[in-house]
Amino acid sequence: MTGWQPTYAHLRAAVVGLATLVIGVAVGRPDAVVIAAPLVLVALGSARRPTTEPTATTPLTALTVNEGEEVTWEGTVEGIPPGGIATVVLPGQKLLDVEPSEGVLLAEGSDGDAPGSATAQVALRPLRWGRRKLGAPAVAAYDAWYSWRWGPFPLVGMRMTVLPVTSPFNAAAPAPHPRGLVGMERAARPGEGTEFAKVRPFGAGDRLRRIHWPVSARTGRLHVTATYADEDAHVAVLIDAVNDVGESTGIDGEKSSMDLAVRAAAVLSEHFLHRGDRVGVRVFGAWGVSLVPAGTGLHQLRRILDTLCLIEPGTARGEDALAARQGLGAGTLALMLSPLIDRAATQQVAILNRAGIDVVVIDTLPPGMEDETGTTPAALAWRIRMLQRRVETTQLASLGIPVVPWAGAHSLDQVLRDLTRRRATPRLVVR
Amino acid sequence: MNQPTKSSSVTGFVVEDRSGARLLTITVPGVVVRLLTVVPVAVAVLAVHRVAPGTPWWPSVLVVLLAVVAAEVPDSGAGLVTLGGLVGWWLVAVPEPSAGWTFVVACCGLVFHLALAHAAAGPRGCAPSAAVVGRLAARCGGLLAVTGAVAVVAAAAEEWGEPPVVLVALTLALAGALPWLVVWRVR
Repeated sequence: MTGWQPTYAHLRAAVVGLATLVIGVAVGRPDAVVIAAPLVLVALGSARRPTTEPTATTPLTALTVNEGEEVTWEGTVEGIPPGGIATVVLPGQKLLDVEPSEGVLLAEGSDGDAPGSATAQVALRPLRWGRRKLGAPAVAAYDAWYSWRWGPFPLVGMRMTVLPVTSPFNAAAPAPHPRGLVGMERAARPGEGTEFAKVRPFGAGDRLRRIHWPVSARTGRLHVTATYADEDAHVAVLIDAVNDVGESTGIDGEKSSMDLAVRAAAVLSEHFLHRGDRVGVRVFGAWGVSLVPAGTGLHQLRRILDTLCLIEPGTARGEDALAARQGLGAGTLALMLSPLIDRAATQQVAILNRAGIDVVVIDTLPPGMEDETGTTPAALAWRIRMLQRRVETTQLASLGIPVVPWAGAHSLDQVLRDLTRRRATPRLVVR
Repeated sequence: MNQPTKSSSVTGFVVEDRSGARLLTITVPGVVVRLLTVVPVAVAVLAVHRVAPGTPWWPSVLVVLLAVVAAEVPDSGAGLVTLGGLVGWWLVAVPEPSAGWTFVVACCGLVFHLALAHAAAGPRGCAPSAAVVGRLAARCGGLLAVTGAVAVVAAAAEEWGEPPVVLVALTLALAGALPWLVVWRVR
């Protein structure tokens, strides 16, 4: 059974053309014959139903891209009749640019009378992180005069994983409590490393290349150059996904609090992983994604980015505040990304700080959200919450917990330096 | 509440609500195809009034309105009604046509038909490739050349002062031969 069906255009040309021709002949009107001539020729040229059986395929069924990256989707239609045309339409979605947005008409590319093929290329540009399934593309084929139609038939929709963009982040400050084995952070204890600590007398086990000859010659006793050990730090990125405040219009437009949090988490993870630190991610308030254990390397970065894509804010509320501390010990650098709208986030920060964990709160409330001047009940409630939030932020600062807005590269430099200096101070922590 | 947001599409202007549903799409190919659907019909009815100045206007306005409707729903029977109405109005309103104006109306009818068929091939504003436009224009030009030849034959037959018996005979022969030609092509 063939899938070719006549179109309204075929009906129009045949009915109007032949009727006008017959009327013109019957009543002796040559002008009617002239008017009917092209329509009759069209009807005659496309009177035969095409015998080919088109097939449509697409090679891409799953794709992983970055935010704002442009990719090309291809769909091929084969078996188009000579001179025929193929229509390919890829339906658009929110926060996905499709170019051309309304589909494309393609001419078959064969020579002679053999059935031809046409390949449609549609540019896709996702504007926001996440995992999505694109709408099923539709394909149709026509003969040369649009008189016969095959389809439209759906193709397999593509699954697209959009990773958050990792813009360059360059924090020069060290992590405050490196306690691992190998890495680039300067540890508190002496050992094999690169950063100078002091010159001390030679001891058993010291390497000969460490001997400091000027001091040895001056004192008459062997001295060696001692260094601090290089270690890695444990960095925990905590994401508050209980609320998504603000409107997201894509990577080029306005950013919601989750946009800021996810992109900042991606940037921070990439930065610390490149420095050799162990980085883990914990998400609060999102169902189905909660924890990425700490690890190192590029695989860990990919694992984190894949996890960040799955966050659906506000799908799991009422988690235990103590859950934030699980698996984190004293000396961990915890970076809490939160708009500080939900009080649970503030409680988690306080619990982490009490456990001796260095916490830096990165405020992801979009700029301008605090300025609410309306008089509706909702606006008044929001203003009250903003006042409470300001009080809570001040209380956090009084506990020594820095709260900094996310401002991209170098936004954490001063905070991390302060934490590094503070580590020399004795502290009372709960074990 | 849905608020329109503008997409950053390049080929057209797309207005969509927060859920991503499109409220309005304006593309260059869509505008051109609509113009090619409505303008030929308007030109044809103007030709009617140019050849027959005393004819009433309301049938012409009705035909143009039908063309506008057909442009909005190209994959429907509105195009057939429009084209049939245009041809019928010409035959009724113009008792003694000239060959030139007849050719103009024939061209307008063909352009309307092909533009409407092209518009029905995809969503509104579907972007055709250059090859599609080129082939369509070439086919249209070929048909217009044949139509021009038929118009010349008809005009010559009228100038010779003879009744168009030859033309009638040729036409009837062609109409009778159509089924045979179709069967022959299928074979």
